[in-house]
Amino acid sequence: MKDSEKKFTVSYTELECKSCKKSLTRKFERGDIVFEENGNCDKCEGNLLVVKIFGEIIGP
Amino acid sequence: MTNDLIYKNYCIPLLDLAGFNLDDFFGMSDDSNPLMMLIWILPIILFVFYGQRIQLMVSSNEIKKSIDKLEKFRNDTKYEFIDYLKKTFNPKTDPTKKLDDFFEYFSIMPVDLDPNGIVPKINHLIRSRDDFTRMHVKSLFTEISEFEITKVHNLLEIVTTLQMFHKATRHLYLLAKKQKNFPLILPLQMMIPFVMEEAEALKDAMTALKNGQPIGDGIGPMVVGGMMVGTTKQIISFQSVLSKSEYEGRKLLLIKAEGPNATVGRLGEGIEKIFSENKPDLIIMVDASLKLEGEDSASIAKGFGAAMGGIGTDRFQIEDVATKNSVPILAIVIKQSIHEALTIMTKEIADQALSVRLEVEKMIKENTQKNQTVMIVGVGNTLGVSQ
Repeated sequence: MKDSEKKFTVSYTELECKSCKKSLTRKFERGDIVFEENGNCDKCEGNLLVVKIFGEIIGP
Repeated sequence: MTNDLIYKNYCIPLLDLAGFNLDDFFGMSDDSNPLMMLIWILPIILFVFYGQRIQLMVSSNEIKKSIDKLEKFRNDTKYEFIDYLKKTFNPKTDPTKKLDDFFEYFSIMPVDLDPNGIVPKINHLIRSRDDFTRMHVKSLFTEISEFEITKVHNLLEIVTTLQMFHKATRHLYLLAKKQKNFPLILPLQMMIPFVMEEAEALKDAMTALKNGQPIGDGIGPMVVGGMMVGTTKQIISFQSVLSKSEYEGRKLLLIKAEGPNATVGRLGEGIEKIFSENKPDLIIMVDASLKLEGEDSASIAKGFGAAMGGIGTDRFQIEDVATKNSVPILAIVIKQSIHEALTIMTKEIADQALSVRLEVEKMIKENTQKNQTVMIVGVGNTLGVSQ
């Protein structure tokens, strides 16, 4: 298989602020766990809860 | 006769133009051409006596390629696993030798000549194997968390399964070749695409397991885990949690494997225990399910009965206790391929968590009255999904 034909997966973490419900998606980091708090909201300083971790396939 | 002439003149003008006569070529115009007769007869003789061997050669070449691929998968995952252990846990001694022994472990299923009472025997065998493996994984490293033990346990199972796939397919292939027996290779030829599909999924599952990311199979625990957020959790059986909640006047008993460990828990034991204290009026089970060809990934289906895969012992316990207490079981499944079930959860599947939760709530309202108790079970590997 040529390199250009290879598929690879990029992992993302979706977080939601428990106070203002603002949602943000960033690249997955080791230690991210669904339904565990991870950081603070930049808008209201509320706790961010990981609500989803998913992978998206990139490639042909 | 006239028709024949018309047919010939109509059909083969191009061949005639090229100076090529089809009848002459096949020796049909002259019955006495022995060379052309040989050209016809030789292949017939060849295929009558050696047809199966030719088929065996063609089929076995294709199968050999798959077996080589399986061997590569086995080796790659094995080295990846050992490398992960060395880099993550920095063991004092090289674990390779001990792990090589683990990869060779097998399980002998109980005698089924008299199947009565076989389920507790299988349950005992599986539990013993699990406990033994966990204990030995723990002994390999001085400091290892429960989360990491479950991950290592799952990674070990992947390598062991790929080793078993490789050995079993190679055995059937070599046996057919040795016996020069074409029918022997037919079952393998039929099964190999399915084996390869599962082997590729297992190989790709390594990444999600190493990173502690939720897999497609974790959608059941993710739905129930979401309902558990903010409630008090208690351990009901090994690596299984229970929490109590309420929804529109109904009491909810929420059960799932203990996240974020890479485990499916022992839900059967837990549910049996709950029934002895608090009999529910309805059980709803949420699980991932293998989709049929043509079905959409991440589609939701509802039905009756215990939605639970695996060897069947936990499902047996749940069905048994539900039948004895006349409690109906409803199921909600999220369809996916085997690759999606074993690798990192796709966005489509993760996005369905909310829809499934709404379906569960609708089921509760439609099938129970206020003040009744509903047990909701999230089935699947809860890796990377807490509660």
